[in-house]
Amino acid sequence: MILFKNKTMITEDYGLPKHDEVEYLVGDPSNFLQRRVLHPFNALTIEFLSELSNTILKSSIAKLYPDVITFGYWCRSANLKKMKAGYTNLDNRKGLGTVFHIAPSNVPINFAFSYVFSLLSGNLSIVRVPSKNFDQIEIVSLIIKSLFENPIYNLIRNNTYFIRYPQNGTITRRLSFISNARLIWGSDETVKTIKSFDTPSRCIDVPFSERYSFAIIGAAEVLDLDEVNLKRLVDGFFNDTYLMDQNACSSPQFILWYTKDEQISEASKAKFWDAVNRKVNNEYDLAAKSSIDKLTWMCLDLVNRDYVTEVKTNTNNIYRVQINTLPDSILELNGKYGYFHEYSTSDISIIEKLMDIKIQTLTYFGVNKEELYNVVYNAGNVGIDRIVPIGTALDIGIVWDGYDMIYTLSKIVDLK
Amino acid sequence: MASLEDLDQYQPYSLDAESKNQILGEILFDLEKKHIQKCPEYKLISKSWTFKDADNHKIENLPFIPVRLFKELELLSIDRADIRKTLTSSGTSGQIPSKIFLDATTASNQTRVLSKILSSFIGKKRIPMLIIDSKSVLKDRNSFSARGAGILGFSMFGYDVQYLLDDDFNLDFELLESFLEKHKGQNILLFGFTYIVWEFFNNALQKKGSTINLENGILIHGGGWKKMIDSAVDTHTFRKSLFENSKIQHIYNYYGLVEQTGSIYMECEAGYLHASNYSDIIIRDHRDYTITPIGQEGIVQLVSSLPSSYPGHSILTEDMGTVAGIDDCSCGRKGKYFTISGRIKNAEVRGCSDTIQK
Repeated sequence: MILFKNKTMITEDYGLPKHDEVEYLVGDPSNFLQRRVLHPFNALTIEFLSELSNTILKSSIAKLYPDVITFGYWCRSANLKKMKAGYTNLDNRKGLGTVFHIAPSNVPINFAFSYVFSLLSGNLSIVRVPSKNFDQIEIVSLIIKSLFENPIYNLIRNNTYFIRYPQNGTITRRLSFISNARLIWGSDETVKTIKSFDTPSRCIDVPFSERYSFAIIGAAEVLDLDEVNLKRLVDGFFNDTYLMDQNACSSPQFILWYTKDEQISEASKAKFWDAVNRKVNNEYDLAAKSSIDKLTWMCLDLVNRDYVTEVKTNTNNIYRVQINTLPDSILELNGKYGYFHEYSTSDISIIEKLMDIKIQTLTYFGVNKEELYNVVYNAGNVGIDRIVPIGTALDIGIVWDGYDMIYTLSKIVDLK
Repeated sequence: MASLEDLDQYQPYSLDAESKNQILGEILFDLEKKHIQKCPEYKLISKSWTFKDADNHKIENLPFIPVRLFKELELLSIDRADIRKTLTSSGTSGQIPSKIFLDATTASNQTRVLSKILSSFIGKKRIPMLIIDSKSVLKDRNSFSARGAGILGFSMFGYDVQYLLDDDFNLDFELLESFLEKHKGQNILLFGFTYIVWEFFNNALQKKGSTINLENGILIHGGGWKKMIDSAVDTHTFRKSLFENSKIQHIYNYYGLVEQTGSIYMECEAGYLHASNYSDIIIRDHRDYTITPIGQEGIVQLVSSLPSSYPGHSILTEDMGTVAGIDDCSCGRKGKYFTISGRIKNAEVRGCSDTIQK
């Protein structure tokens, strides 16, 4: 299959779907013929993104959506320049070509990050946005569309397509056929389905599939916290977990308490969870269905798992499953909507035993991060791609799931 | 110690709250003790139960196990050798059905209590009966779906029992007409699942432009109302349409769980579902599982004095309901009366675990 080599070879079948096949939120398929592969962090892209950032941050509608603002803030030129400075040599790189994004259905803003990763790497993007009409998608799309009215951004306009269509194997198959890379956000099932569609042999897939995350908290350090810093920790923990129903890949489902002294640990847990409880009671809206889910998991945990000693449920908002032994795989210690498993240890190196390829983020508080890094980095097994402070679990970055997006989505033109 | 026989001395809707709580409470706590002894899974749950206060003998302090547990676990408080019947929930298609294990005692208690409740509405005398369903629902005599169990349970109240639908759910008009001719002037009992009554009886009559006269008919229907809510047919429309198509006036809805077969909740003349002496309803706030005040909607918990072969004496359903009052319904029946507003809604889950496919 000749792709990208000779524009005239691309017949309609291998081009973008027409307007009557999919909804274009941004982009016009007729511009597809004018696409160009660009260089990572090229000046026009930086200029475009900083204008995007300014527009978002000034928009009164965008202000209603913290996630849109976070995205806008992320795109500001200072941040991009800092990011660019982190790469020592990008001069011989260019984008891979056409990147097809299958955005996650439940995190409204990730489609935009996915797009920007690809744009910054020099690529054309076809982004399949969630079929659900999230306001965030509408807002970002409209702003980008308005920026494209300025002809100086034609190059970027020709490389940008946000589309929406209901579950449809045919369209996904066709787009896979013209992809040089695919960013697949979704469940293992979704990734498997998408992977079953043929792509050109040089196409690379970057799957952002189901992951598992956990947290480590130093008990003594929590005990030492004053009111202000305790609130900071708890706000951060709330953002990592309840904000996304504890259902994001990087939301911790299991809490490892690090302590040399069991008594300190108990007092520390009480202090921490009391504060979480106050926060959750005020700010989390537990759905009836989620409430029954948690009660069901509690019963199943009590019945099926002999290492479960007790489930603490002083309110329905927080379930804390106490375990006295770690199971072979911590992946079975799962929960959502405020359902946590807890275990205490005096030995940080225990983390090595917990590592599994499915584990993405280790969030920490009150534990020496270099020690954590040493355990994870030197462990002879895979798993754990991120070690980040509690409160930043959901902060998406140019390095995600262990991949550097710029390096992954660009290639080197080797000159000797 | 109280037992079911104590309750049998009373008319099913005659006990006021105080006497009922005392007798039913004793039976329920005896059941609780039994299930803790005989069902190891239940023991693990019950001993760790935290949603209660210090008063050990309040019915509200019994654990309430989520109804979904009967899908996830095989829960029984008898030796497997003593299983007489296994009931399975109709369940939504594609889901694992609930499994309910009955021994001889529980099965016969179910029948007896159903009969007590029902005869207080339709009298003790057996009357000719039509079942609005297909006989094929009852293929396996040892394992019944909720529908099958319901049909078998209710058909004991009639004689000359006939099934009105063929294997393809077509209404047998000839059978219906000849049956009505044969039993002219008599009361006739009709029983079926709400959705099936609507779709395959009422709508079939309507299509045909029916001239059927069921003014002596008594229709009892229940279950499957989740589908009815989907098709947006409310009680009023249901009754009106059936009256137009068949002149039937006596229509009773009932509510119940396959997990608590027998102790059903019948709808009274005033339009409320009623708890009999044998069971009760508790409405809980999903946020902390405290009991909501009368008139406030919440998750429905049902307690029943019947389940002794499996730990189903106290179950948290996935239905939402509201208790309208206690002991003072205008129909004259004692006990709690209530309405059911539907299934709990599916939560809009945030996060990235669940995503679009294809």
